[in-house]
Amino acid sequence: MAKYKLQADVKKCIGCHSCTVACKQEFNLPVGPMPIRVLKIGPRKTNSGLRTDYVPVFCRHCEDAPCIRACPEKVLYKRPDGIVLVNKEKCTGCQICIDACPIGALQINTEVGNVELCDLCSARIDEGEQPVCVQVCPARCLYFGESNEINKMMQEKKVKDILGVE
Amino acid sequence: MSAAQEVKRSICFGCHCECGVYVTLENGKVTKIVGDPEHPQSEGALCVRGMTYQQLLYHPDRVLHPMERQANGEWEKITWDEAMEKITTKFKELVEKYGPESLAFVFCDGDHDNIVFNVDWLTALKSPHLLGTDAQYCIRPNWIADGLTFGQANTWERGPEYINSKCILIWGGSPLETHLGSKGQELLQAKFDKGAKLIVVDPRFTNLASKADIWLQPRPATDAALALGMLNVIINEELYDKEFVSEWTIGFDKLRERVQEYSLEKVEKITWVPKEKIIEAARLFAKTKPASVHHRMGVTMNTNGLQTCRAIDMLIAICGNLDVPGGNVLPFPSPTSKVKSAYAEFPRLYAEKLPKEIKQKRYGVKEYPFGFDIQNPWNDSHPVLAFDSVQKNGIRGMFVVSDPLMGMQGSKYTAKSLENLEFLVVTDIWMTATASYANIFLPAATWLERDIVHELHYPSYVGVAPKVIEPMGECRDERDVSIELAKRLGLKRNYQVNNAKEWNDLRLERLGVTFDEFFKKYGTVLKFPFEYYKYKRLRKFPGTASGKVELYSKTLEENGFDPLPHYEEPPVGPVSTPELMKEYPFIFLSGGRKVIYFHSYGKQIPWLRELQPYPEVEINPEAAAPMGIKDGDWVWIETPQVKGEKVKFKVKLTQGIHPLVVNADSHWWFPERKDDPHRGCFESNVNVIVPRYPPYDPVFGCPIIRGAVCKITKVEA
Repeated sequence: MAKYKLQADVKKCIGCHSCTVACKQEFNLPVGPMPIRVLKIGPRKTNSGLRTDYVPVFCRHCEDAPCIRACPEKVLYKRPDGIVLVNKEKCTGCQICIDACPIGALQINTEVGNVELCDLCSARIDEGEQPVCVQVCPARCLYFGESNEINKMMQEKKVKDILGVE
Repeated sequence: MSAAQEVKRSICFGCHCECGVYVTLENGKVTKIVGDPEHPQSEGALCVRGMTYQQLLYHPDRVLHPMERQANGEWEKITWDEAMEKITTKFKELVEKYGPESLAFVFCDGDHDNIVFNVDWLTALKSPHLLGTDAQYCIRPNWIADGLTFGQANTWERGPEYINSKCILIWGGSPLETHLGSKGQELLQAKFDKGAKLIVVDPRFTNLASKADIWLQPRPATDAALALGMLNVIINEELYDKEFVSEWTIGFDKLRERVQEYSLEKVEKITWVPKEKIIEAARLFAKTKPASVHHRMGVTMNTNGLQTCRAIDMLIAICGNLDVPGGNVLPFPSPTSKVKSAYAEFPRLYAEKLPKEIKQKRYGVKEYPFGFDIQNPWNDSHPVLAFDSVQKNGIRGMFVVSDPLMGMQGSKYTAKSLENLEFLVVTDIWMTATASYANIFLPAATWLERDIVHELHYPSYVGVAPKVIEPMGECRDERDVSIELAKRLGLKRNYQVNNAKEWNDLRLERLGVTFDEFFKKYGTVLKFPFEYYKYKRLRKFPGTASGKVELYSKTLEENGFDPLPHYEEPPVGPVSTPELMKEYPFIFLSGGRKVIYFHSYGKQIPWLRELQPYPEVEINPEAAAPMGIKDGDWVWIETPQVKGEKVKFKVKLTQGIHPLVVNADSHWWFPERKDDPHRGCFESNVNVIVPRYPPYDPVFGCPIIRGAVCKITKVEA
């Protein structure tokens, strides 16, 4: 398991795009790639009325990452703490990793011709800071921390939710 | 952090949320803007517009020098001295030939500090034409309805105190789109961290509605009936605050009688909201204390704005949520008393210094005496009538700091007025639709390039926003320009300051600090303690005629209006004009806002435009299917009031809108179309087809902006 985890509490996300734009700003990305983007699912009819879900999508830093397996150039790799990174200099932009990723987390940067993906703001977290999306989220629906801690927190949230306690 | 990198603290002024920011510069160039977690209102939140201002600062479209439009339509660069001399000469000429009332200053929203200096020259010249292009519907109905009821406005941003609220009622808008960094993030904290209940009234299933405990989806423009229905439940089930009502209000018995006219069966029929839902919402609101109410432009951009606002105000009044923590707080004493207030200064100037006979020359005084004369705290002129006057030898010269062509209803008519002007000066950051008609273009500095004093919109903060970089090119602080204009015109000015810097210091004088000292001592924001239950200490509600909360308003009665709130059927629609609905089958919501754009701003910003590249109209799939319209199709929208015009939108099919209602984006233009001098401002701009003609609302002269009717046809390839 990757040491760190970025987690969205979908119940709270409002689809304001702050995470997306803060990320693009942090990495100065051109129009196109969005290492974190929010999908709007709905509004759709349910038994309890209309429902819209806003779902932030970003790299999950999979244990056995399909993108790494798929990359013919071997330019995708993992840091010792499990964060998936891309060697942008050597990436040819063949996009095979994009097809391999089950959630579409990788995207092509047509301006420079390499793929982009969320690196959990590795430079920031190495300095003890939070990833920029977590810092700016007005709904405070993004969490970052050690995977074990985040999983525990989300488990607690879900149980509380089922029991209906704040 | 590298040596060439520095971080500066300021306050964003992209809209009037005024969120705290940290701005990163690399080699003197702004590279990042993020929220300031220590700002007491925004607490680190910042919307996407705020985060992309560096793309505005260095945008190739920015105009960095004054320009003059030549006879052949081409723009030519001129110096500031030439520009100011030409403006002065022409203004003097117009005043000499046609009198000072041939000149107007035009603004919308935004920077009140700048308005002060423009009102200064208007006053000295004796021109009564201060034109806010949104004057009939933005703030005014809220402000005047609240003033008549409570003595003070408290249902706009400054009133509802979400953070301590247990039940938040948002009516006709989404602060998550329009006020994300300020009230939006506060609302999310109240809802998710403190468990507040949320009731949302909106014909659209917005992001806010998706988080609501109860969502009411009324037929557009029937909000007054819905509020009266809720009052019916609260009064007849005796859920109101009896002690507050008997001690602090007048007219309750009459209100009780009035709400009997609004049975839930009747209200359901008018509003399309099932009566069970009305009962559920009314009970939740009345039984959860404290509760706060925030109503927005969805309820005022219509022909019954004042009465609708009054009806919603009654909910606040009789449930005892007035001036309590977590309720609707009365914003006095506001930061206004701590600094020289821009909001207070320009109306005061006009009120005190403009001779009475000149004041009577304002447009709207005769036509809408209550809303534009008797109850007119800003002493401004009616914008639509004023723009009309251009075509009738009235106003001949305008000094504009906004984009009325995009913002005002009836864009083609507005364009004709702009064309007919003898002289038009526009200050802006780039070539806008309005500026394309100007004689002189003046380049403005952005908030990142100006020192600004803020009286924050929320109770009790004063803030300073130091500039982050020097103005680009020849761009100037607009206040400096207005001061220079008054000087060149040889006018006796009210404020003896020579520039914006001196003005900033003067504004902070009462605090005993200069602008720079304030920033050194307090950072960007100084917070003041806030007092609740002020009416108990004062033993009255200052501002109302009786000193009580006026459920029944004698002032309205004396001026020929209904003293109690009532519902009025919109002048067009399925009930008033069923015949018309055969050809124009949809109720038309124009001007829904999204967080990505602020009015006409933002279409040029790459990181914003990629989030939504095209103007969208929301249609229910059930309504679209019989017309053969699919998601992503382009359609024409037409209204019966503006004959012969149509605008083009891309279809967004959604369950989030009633099958009989469509909802189109506001303020679309195509600044990238450099081959069109007017930048595609008529193609997808809803205001082209939003009627500016009567029927007007009787108090403010507001046309039907959200709740007219329209037809939709597919654009054939």
